[in-house]
Amino acid sequence: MAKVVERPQEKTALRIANQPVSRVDGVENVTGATKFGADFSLPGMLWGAILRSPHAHARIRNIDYSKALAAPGVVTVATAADFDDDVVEPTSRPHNVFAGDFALFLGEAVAAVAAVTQEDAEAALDLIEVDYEPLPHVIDPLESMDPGAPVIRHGDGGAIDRTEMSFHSSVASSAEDLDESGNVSSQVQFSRGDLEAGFAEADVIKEGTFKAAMVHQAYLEPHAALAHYMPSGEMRLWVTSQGQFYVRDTVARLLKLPTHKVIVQGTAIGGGFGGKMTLLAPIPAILSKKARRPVKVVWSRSEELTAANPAPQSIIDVKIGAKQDGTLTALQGRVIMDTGAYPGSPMSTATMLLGSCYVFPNMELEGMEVLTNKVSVGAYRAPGAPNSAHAVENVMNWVAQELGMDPVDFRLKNAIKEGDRWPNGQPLPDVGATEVLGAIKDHPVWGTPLAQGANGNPRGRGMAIGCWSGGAGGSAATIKLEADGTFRVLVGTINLTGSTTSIAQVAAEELRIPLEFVSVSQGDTNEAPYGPVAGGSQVTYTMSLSTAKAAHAVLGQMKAVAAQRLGVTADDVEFGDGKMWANGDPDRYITYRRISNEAMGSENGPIIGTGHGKPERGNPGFAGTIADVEVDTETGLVTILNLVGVQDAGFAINPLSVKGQIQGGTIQGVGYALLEEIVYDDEGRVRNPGLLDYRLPTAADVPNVDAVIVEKHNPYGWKGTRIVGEPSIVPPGAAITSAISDALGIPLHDMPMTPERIVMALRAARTNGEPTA
Amino acid sequence: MRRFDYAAPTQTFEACALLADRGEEACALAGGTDLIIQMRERGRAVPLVVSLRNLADLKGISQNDDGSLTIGAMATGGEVTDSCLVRDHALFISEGAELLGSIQIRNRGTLGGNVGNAAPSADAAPPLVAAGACASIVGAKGTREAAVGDLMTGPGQLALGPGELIQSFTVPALPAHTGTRYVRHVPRLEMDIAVVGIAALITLEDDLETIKDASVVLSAVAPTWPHARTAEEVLKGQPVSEKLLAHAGEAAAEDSRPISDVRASAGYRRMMVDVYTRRAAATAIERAKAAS
Amino acid sequence: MDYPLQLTVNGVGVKRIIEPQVRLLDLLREDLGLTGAKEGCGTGDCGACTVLIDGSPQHSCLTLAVEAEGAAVTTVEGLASDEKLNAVQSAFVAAGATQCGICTPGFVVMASAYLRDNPTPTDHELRMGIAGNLCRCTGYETIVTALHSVIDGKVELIDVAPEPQELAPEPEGEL
Repeated sequence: MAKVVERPQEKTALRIANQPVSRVDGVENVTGATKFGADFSLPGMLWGAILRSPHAHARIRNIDYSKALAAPGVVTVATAADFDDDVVEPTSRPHNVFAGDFALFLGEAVAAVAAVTQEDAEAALDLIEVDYEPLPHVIDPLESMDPGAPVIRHGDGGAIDRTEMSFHSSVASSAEDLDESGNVSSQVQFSRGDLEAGFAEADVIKEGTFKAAMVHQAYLEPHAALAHYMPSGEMRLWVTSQGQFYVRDTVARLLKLPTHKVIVQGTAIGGGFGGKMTLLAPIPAILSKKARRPVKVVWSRSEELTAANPAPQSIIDVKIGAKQDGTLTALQGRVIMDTGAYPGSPMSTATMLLGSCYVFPNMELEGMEVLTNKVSVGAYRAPGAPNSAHAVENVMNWVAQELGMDPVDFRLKNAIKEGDRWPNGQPLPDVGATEVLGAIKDHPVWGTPLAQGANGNPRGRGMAIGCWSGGAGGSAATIKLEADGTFRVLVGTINLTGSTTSIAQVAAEELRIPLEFVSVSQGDTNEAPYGPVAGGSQVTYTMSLSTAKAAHAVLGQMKAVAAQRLGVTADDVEFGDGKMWANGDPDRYITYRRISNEAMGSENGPIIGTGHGKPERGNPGFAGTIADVEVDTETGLVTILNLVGVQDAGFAINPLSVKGQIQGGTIQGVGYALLEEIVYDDEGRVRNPGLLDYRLPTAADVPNVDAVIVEKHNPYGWKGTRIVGEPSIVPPGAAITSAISDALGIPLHDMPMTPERIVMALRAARTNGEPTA
Repeated sequence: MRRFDYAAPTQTFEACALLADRGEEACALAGGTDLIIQMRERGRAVPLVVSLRNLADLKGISQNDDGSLTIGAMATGGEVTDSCLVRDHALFISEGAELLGSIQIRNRGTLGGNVGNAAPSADAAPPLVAAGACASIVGAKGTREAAVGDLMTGPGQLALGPGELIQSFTVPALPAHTGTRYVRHVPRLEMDIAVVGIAALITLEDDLETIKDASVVLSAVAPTWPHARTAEEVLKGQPVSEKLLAHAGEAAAEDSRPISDVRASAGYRRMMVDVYTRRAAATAIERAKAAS
Repeated sequence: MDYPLQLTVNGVGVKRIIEPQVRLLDLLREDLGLTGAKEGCGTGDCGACTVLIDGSPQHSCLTLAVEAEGAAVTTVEGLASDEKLNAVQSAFVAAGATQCGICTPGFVVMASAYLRDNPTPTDHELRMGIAGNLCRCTGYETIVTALHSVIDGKVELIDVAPEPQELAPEPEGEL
């Protein structure tokens, strides 16, 4: 599939950027040499294990761990009492390491043991005596909003911690914190125009209530962290996390250590998707501080599925009106988002995104974040956006159908453009909504009618688009010219998605040398310049700018050396392929190697350059999905026949990696649409805490994704680069559920659409006498 | 995982003696794909693990002179899946074994383990029941035979005495004009556990139009692996027709006793028993015709 | 109680006295320092811990180390020769089949064994064959593409430690 390109002509031909490049760390990955979080160990290391609340809601009257301390192999035990009151924030999960006076969900950490072996640590957990007073709990978010529901927070106050959500989105949140007398912790409203008038002028109005399940990021590598508190008072940590500086700051604050005494090495990370930040690191840190020995803690998969920070369950109402010619007139929406036991969900983003893809002259949007006695939620790739898109895009398709319009043409007529405003009033830069829709319209799958199924099973097609604002944080990169003329780039960002390869490409492009002469190192928080959290799709977006700046700094220093040797001014120095020469005289050159050596012995050396800054602003990325499905109406099993993922990447620094992101995000969307759901029982226990019953798609369940890269130049990114990681997960859930709905001829409202839900929806429709396929 | 003692005897009588000695405290280890999970994830305490890996007389697959087939309890899912002897003898035993998790699981997990674990959702056991297979059970007092269908008494419960082990399964020769099918319902194609499983064995009369005998065994919809007796009666002696199969499906749904759990509701399970009984029987009939 | 254990790992003899609850995965990772096999779930549902036991791909998380007595174990660290990656490893690198990389060792071990036993599978058979290995990043497409290139014999084996190249020769004579 040809990619759609819209960007200014480059002055010089690109040599390395915009070329598909296989990962620079590929050989390490396939030989098992890459070291992930759990792969680090130290001599004398202890193992930590975590005691978790067996109650969904309880007062903790007392904890007696004397018997555990006396058990074989046990060195120390830590509880909430080990953290000073002035650093603990009861409303912030990362800053409330252990349950204090109250355990607010089943699985909340209550204490941790460090022992010589993992068996010793786990065995000692049984010896910790916790005096719980079980309290009434509430699991369902709608029940939690009832006036008579048990109140979840205990008046411990504190502002809602939106730090992690802010990593993912550069869009201002205008949500308002509420007091703790009820379980609605936060609310937000956006309005524009006159809603009633908007619906009054509509010829077609469609509405629905959409439920999306709690799902897990399900990175294949569980949380792991190794901490070593040194006699010098330095705390060294090896942590699998998306943000090593965020871990450093959290640990420093909780343990009251000076920032420069906390040194975090982010290890290779086995997936994060927003869910792997700083939940675990403080536990081995406090254990190591108490034990004065290295302590490693690795979570089990069941701990992941019961006590990490999954993506929220939501209930979203959407009502859309349009004129007969397809012009949208009004949008009404309400988001209820279950945030679990701690506030800070992506509720306000999800609410705003209801109105983010199209121009609605009149709208009223309302969002509410609701507390329940479940695990607190976190970010998952475009947090909240798949939930929003699921609701809006299904209703958009119903409206298009009622209007008798092609759903892509209907969207093109209303697509948001440069200068239009999002619901929060923020004007948009030049976004690629129209271009993404255009690529869908031009795609052969969209142009080919669905063939009949072989065995009479109905087939259906769905499409959807979605967007994500992304982060645009500050970052820095350092480049050194080595003695042999090669370069080392030092960064502090985590190589979550292959960003190291993209950073190497940017450096090689700017330095005009082949890729193999550049190495990128991820330094620890002590040696590397600051890098933002690998979230919000921002690492390549911001680091490409910093890396280019560092390369220019290095080139400036090199040119000074070369100019002296060549007897010209620096402005007259040309360069490329490892050498510099005077303009017009390429045969008389000086190699990068020689420049390095000459600089070393001169007032100009050694050559090292740093670039820092942040993109002037974020610029949302749009993505779209086409899904064709076949449904076995007797069993409810869905086969995906075609899956097309279109995304505007601005400028694809590494098209191989961008396609990989589109494919991966789209298949995660298949999980949202068909398979994945964390299920709770009435007691607040997760009923499917393993990868057998928390079902990730396997290779046998999914088709190939035709990944189409659209390149709509972003003036704020390096050579037009835009955020890449997140947008691809936004539309697939909506497109696939819409395709199933199209196949069956009935409206569907839930994610995931499990076989059982499909069969039951069909049965209900037949019982009600509604026509079906 | 809690600490435990381990023994890997080389003689079956030694294994039986160890298991008999320690009673409830001991457990036999076949492939370990269920036991290790129970011990690690669910805190099951097993003070003595008796490994069966060195017991030669629990291994192998062989055809007997009377046309029956003997499958050692320690035959792995992979061996049963790939065995031409098994496929030719009763295809649905191979089909059930092929559904035991992934290739990695099938390379460790055994047929004896699948039966011995006594999970209502077992995939490899129901075809053995439907085919009328007998288990050869060895204990301190010698060897006895028991129908596989009588072995399971409830979830995790087997009618085995202290120190008794399943040594092998013997599947009788199947009559002429017989076809088999094991099919299950799962949301994913692989790596899943049966929401509903149906083992069907159909024998046709010489006319290839009338059902002479039918055996339908259910998985994951009752505390054991029961025959769907009403459905079997519906089928027997009747000419094959779509209506007959539909009737049998409904009868099997009535025969099932499903529960609601995280994988599915009882109501949905009952509906799937109907659908998959019909489909399994139809395939078994096709195979019976094709083999004739 | 401790048990004597003898086996080979990647061709090297290993003799240990171990406790029976030690899994093969623990022995490899914690004792032998072979951290290539990963623990993604501990329940045989993700395949990240896959190793070859006498050539057969199995979960090292569901195998007690004592059960590997006398076995020849091959881990991801033992797949490449001194000079070259094997075909599956090379194809993974070339096709961009690794993203975060945590599932990669298990996938590479599993796929190497699968294609050894099934050199010409259909796409469906191939996908079923590797369905016991979960990947959360790629959506499997690049992995399947890589394996098809192995099936089609279109893989150029990649050097393990390539010879360094020279970029620009020093010019002759003085500047």
